[in-house]
Amino acid sequence: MEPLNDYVVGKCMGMCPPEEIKMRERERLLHILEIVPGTENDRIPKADINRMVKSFARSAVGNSMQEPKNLRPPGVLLKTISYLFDDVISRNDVPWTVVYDFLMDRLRSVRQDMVIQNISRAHYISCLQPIIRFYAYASYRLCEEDINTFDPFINKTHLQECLKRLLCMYDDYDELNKVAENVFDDLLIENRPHFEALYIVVNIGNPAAILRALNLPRGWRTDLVEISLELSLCYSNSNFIRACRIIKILPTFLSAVASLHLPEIRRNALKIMSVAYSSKNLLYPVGVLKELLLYDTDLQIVNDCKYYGLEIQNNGIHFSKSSFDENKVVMTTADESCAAERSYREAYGVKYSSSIPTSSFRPGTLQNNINLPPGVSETVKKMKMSQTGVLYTLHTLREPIVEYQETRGVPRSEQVAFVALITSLCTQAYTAAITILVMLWNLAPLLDGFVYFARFLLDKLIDILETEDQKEKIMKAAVFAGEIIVVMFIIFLILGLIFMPVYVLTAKIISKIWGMIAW
Amino acid sequence: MYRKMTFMTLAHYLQIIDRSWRAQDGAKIALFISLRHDHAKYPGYQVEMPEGLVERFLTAPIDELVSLHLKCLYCIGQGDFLGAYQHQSALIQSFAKILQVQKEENWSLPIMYTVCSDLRLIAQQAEKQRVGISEKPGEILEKAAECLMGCFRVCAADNRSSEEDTKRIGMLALVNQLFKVYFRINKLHLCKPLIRAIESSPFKESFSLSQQVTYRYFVGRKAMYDSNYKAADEYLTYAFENCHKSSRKNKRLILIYLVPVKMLLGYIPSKTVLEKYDVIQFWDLVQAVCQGNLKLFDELMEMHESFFIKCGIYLIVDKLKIIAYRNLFRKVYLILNTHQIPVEALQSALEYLGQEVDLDETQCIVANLIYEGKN
Repeated sequence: MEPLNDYVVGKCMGMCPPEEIKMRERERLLHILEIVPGTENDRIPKADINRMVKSFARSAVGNSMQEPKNLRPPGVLLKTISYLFDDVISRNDVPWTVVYDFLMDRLRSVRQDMVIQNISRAHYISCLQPIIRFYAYASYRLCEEDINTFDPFINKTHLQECLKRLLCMYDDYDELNKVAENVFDDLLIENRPHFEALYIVVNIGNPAAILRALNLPRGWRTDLVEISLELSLCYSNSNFIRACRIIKILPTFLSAVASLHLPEIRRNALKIMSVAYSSKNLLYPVGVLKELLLYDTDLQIVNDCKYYGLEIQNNGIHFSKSSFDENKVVMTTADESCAAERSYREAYGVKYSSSIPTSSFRPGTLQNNINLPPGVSETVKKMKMSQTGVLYTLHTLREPIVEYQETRGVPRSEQVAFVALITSLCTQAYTAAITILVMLWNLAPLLDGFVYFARFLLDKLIDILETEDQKEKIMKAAVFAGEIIVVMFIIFLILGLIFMPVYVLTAKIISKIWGMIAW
Repeated sequence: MYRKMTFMTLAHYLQIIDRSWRAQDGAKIALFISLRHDHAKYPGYQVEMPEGLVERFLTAPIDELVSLHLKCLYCIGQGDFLGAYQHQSALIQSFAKILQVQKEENWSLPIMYTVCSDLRLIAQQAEKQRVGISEKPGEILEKAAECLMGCFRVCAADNRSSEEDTKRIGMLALVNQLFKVYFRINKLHLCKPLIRAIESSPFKESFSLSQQVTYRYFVGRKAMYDSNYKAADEYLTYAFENCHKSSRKNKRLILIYLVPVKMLLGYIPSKTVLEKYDVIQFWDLVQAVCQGNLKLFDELMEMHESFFIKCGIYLIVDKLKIIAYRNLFRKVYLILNTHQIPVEALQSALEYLGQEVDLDETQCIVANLIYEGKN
């Protein structure tokens, strides 16, 4: 254990050490937010001393991190943080992603200074709290950005690191103040439940985070912590309905962070429902699920369903055990269908403001999106699974037909509509008529058979007449007669069973058609 | 022998160690270098500066070990566990060096077992005592784990020796010690490489049974945390069945995890077993789950919350609620005796038992049950 005085104490009283100002001005390493306005396009832009903030640098050879004149003491660090969060964050003249990059880097340097000097717990806590809020806010505000401008993973790593450190600080603080009774009205840690809750929500469903919350001293398990804990438990027990409800009622800030988990919750919900509500011919109304899973628009939910391989018909989702695509990972915000939605919205002149996890972060809009009118879900009837009586019988009767048709290549889910019916009937009639005509045409070769018959007849007669022996003549005549009988019988069959019906049928059809035309 | 110890002088003690060292009697040295052995309690062995005396009786390398051991005893005598920890960790580091030089022999492994588990115990004590200015919680235990890893590396790297003399046979004991540390400081992700090392070891079956039981107990618990209940059941069942019947305390520990895992998989423990191993707390829970009595279940959760949290089974017990739902719904089905149960009926059953749920949530619960195939 090293004594406290082993750590360096900073002596730099500005937000940026003078040496660095000179160096960065010379090397043209100034950030757009640090330049004297109007000199941006100069060959060497001028540094605005009041706006320069020490940038993050890794420890490297020849670059001592321990130099007191380059380190800012805790008071200056606090001042830096408040400059960053009061002035810089609200700048509207540059895109927010640029502001974010700037803050990300400068805050990292602030944290670095804190660690090198091993500043006191009180300072640590008061510095870390706003920094954590910033990371959490950024994760929500920028969640739809492209990976090139915002990396949610790196942001989350920083958030986790700071959050864990803060929680450790709280724990130590608790331990040190065990003797003093007044811990709970300490201004410094009055926000602790808020950050405990944030930790649970960021690490939703994580057993370690849940256990931490369960092990918290009673005094810290406020309603906020309890409800976040319940959210996390609901998430891990896949009670998506309750989880979504809790997200709605959380305070705005936590609600925003929690909504970043919505894509996972929705995926899980759709997966479970595709098994539980698996049905051949029933549909789940899109509108109901939209409300339950906190979607903003029908389009989002339709896109999600399609992405996971579920079919949509007549504004209903067709859940089926086999159709959910397990291989599809959680849809991230930068996903294709999201891009599709974006283009859709642009095409229809809708300002693109929100996609997967609700809207852009302005408390007003957030509330609008999140606080759905109460009682919606109670009034909406869901799948009418429990039909009785006639309806049930009809469904039972329908089933074999559907099954038969399925073998003929008609999809199970197809609904027979009027136009479809007419089309299919016409097609069938046309095919039948063609068949009859083809049949007539194919009968023609039979006439050939009569030629054969005539020749046979004549040949035989000539043969009989040419025979001189009386006895032989009678024999041949008898055989001939027998043969004639057999042939006549076959001809009778052909005419009676094949020609006549076809002829009659054709005649009838023609007379009917003629009758219809004449009439 | 213990009786004799009370009268044994330090010189005599050193002579015995010297003789055992020459005879390569690992077990005996292990006994005499243990912090839990009787000799540790006698003030005669608690020497602040034992180097001079020790060097008169012992030769290198064992002299260093014994000096550190005696210093450690001294610190414990003074109640300074942090100091004791530092001496013990130095002892292990020098032992690791000795172990590394010993080629083709593994008779000293028993010593390693003893000093390593002593280190862990002393680190736990030190952890309680830490002054708490600049360390994070669990820091001492973490350092102790690093120290144990040093020994582990020496053992794992010994792949030239023949099968009878290999030090790799000592790996499992170290892994178990490391498990104990990691579970205590809640760093379960560090267990994974250890498990892999053991599972791929050619001596997997030849480790001693007691070590295997311990190993499976921890791997089973880890599987439980990872929600891999089938595997957890397998490991814990093995541990429970093979744990010696006289070590009731261990059997009870195993049962605390085995019962919820089994219940989640649908096996209900008998009352006699629960009574026999003094985990009767579970009986009410079993009743509540079997009857689908969610009201009782919630009450029990609240009542035993701290017990469940302390054992780290809160989350899995919370999952048993799903089984309770299933049993409740089955009762509703039996009452109605139709194969189409209106969701409203299920909802009113839930509401009767004090659950605040509406139709949507009831449907969600049913959907989950169907999804998991619990019918």
